Amino acid sequence: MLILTRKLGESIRISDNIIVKIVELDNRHVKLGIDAPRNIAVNREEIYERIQKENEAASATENDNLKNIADKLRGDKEK
Amino acid sequence: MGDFFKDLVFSEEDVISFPAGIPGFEKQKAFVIVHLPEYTPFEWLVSTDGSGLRFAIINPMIFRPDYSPNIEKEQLEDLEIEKPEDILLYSIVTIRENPEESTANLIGPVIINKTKRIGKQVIIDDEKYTTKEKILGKK
Repeated sequence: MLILTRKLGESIRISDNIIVKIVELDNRHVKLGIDAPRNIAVNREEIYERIQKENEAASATENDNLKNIADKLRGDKEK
Repeated sequence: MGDFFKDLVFSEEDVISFPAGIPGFEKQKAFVIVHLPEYTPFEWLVSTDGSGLRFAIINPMIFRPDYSPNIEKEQLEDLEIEKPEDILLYSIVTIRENPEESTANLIGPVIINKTKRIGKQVIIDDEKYTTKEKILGKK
């Protein structure tokens, strides 16, 4: 991993079109400003991981279990 | 039973491209939506690569009529949406044996431009929702 030292207000540039700036600093938090092309997804790592995990769990959904809850949802509507 | 999804017959014009894949499955970049009466109101988002990968999806408004994810315009830019009617919104669901424990991912809505047939899973920055919102019981 590349490690760079930056001061408050300084930036790094990734490739020619992504800039990450240190916007705010206090004891335990760093606030980053990110300037990137709009099609570059920027996410908090732990949220991305949570989504990955949930997708993995979702892909294991069993057909019969889906049928079962689908029946319930349709039943609710008909009431 | 998984064979149904592996041997799926579909026409090219129904294929929706997911240029970034789906988090966790970044290599699968093309899907079709399969609607089968016995699973309604759910549908299946099926990978076209023959791997059998598929997700059950649902329009989240069906069980959460007040669902209003905070999606930034920039997040949708690569979908080339021209008008609101182009948009399809789905949530991926995780179904358990006990239906009461089944959940929908409301911070990762799948957004599809049905005209251009491009889709992505958007991650919303909103503490109102989680990846595991109960499907039954809450109205």
